[in-house]
Amino acid sequence: MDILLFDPVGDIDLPERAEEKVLDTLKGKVVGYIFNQHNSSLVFWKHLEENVESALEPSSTLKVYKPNTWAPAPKDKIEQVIQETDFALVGVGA
Amino acid sequence: MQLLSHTFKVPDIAAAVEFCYQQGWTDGLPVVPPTQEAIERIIDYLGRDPKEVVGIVNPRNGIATIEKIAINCVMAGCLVEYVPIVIAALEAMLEEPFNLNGVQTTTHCCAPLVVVSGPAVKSLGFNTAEGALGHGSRANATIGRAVRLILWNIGGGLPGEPCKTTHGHPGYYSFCIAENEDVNPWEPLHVGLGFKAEETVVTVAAVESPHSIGTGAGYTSSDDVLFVIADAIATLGSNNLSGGDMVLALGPLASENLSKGGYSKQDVVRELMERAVRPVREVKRKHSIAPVSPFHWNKLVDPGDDEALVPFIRKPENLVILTTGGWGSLGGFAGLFPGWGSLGGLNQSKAVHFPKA
Repeated sequence: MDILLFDPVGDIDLPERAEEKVLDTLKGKVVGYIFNQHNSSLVFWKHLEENVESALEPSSTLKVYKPNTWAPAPKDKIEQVIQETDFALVGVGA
Repeated sequence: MQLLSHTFKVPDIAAAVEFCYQQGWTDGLPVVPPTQEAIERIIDYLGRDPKEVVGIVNPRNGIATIEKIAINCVMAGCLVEYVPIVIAALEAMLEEPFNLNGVQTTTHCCAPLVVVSGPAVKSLGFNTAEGALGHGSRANATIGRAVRLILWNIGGGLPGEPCKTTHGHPGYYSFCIAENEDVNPWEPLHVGLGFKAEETVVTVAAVESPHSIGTGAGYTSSDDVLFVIADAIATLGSNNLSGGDMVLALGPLASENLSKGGYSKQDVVRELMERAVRPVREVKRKHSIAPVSPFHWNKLVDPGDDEALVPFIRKPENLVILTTGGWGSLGGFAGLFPGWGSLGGLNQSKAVHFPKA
C-alpha cells in the first residue's frame, strides 16, 4: 500500500522589493555605507571608503557602522540609508 | 482536515525513509515518515488552525505554520504532548535578542539549547538523572530533534550555505535538557526567571557543546568548587570574553555542596561574576572582536592596566543555572555551555501552553 508523505519544507516569506534603479555615475550622488565592523575588515573598509570617495566623487556620504557585527543594523538606520542615499554599499566581513 | 503541503507517494516504509533523505529533509539521521494521520493527530491535539503562522524562521525566511511544525515534529518522533514545548522553543528563538539569523549562520559553533523546567519535566518523562545532557529519553531526544528539523527544513540552516559554522557540534542533531527539581536545592529555574511554579517553561540559549567540569564537590569546600567552575568559565577561547550568556548545568552533588556551604543561587552567580576573570595582560592576546566594538572588554577596564581583571560574566542574567544529572562520583560534575557572546543567542524564555483537556 502506498504511503503519502507531506513536505516539511516551509514556504518562503518574500519581502517586497523596490524597483531597481540604475545609476550611470556616483558623481554628485549620495553614497551610503552599512559596515559590520568585523575585525578582519577594518583596514579594507577604510581603504574602500577612501577609494570610493576619491575615484567616484559622491557629493556626500552617510555612514552606518553596526554596533553588533553579527546582528542586523538598527531598523531606523537602514531606513535612513534607504531614504537619504542614492546608492548603498553593504559590507560583511567575517 | 485540509493540509496544504505538497505530497509525495512512496511504496513502503523503507522507501519513505530513503525518500526523505533524497529530498534533503533530514541532516543525516533517519526520520519518521510524515504521514497525514500522524500530522493530523498533532494538529487535533493542539486544537489550532494548521494555517496559523507561528513565525518566520531565518535565514531562509521560512514560514513556520502549525502544519509545517507538526510535520517536522512527526519526523522527529515527538509524542503529541511534546509539541507545545517545541512551539514555545521556536517562539523563544524568534525573539530579537536571540538573533536566530546570526545563530544559524555564524562561524562559531553555537546551537540553540532547549532547557525545560517545571511540572512537565516529570509528567513527560525527561531524563534529568544520569546522562541528562546526553541520551536516555524520548522527550529530550525528540524535542531537541524537532527543533533542529524546524531550523533545517523551515529555517534553511544547512551547513556550508548558509550555515558557516566552522565545526558545529553533536548538539546540532538534538539539544534539549531539563531541570531536576527533586534534587535542586534552590528555586526552580523558571521561578527565578519570574514565571509561576506551576508553569512549564522553555528557555533557549545558543551555546557550545557542554564542557565537563569535575568540581570535586564530594570532597572539597564550596569555595574550591566555585574556584574550579570559575576557572572553566574564564578561558580565552570562549566568546563570553565579549559578554553574553552561558548555561551551567550543575550535577546534584555540586548544587548540594554549594547550598550546604551557604550559597543561594544568586550568591553563586555573584561569586562566579567576581571569580571568572582574566587579567588584561592575558586577554589582550586574543584579537577576535574589534576594539571599536561596544562589546570589547576595553569598554569595561583600562586596556593599559595589565593587572586589571576582565569579567566573563557581565550581568547576573548572563548566567543560566540549573541542577540536573546523576549523583555520580565524588567528583561532583557540572556541564558548562559557553555561549556565542554578546553577539546573539541570548537566553529567552517562554511559558508552554498545553491545550486544555
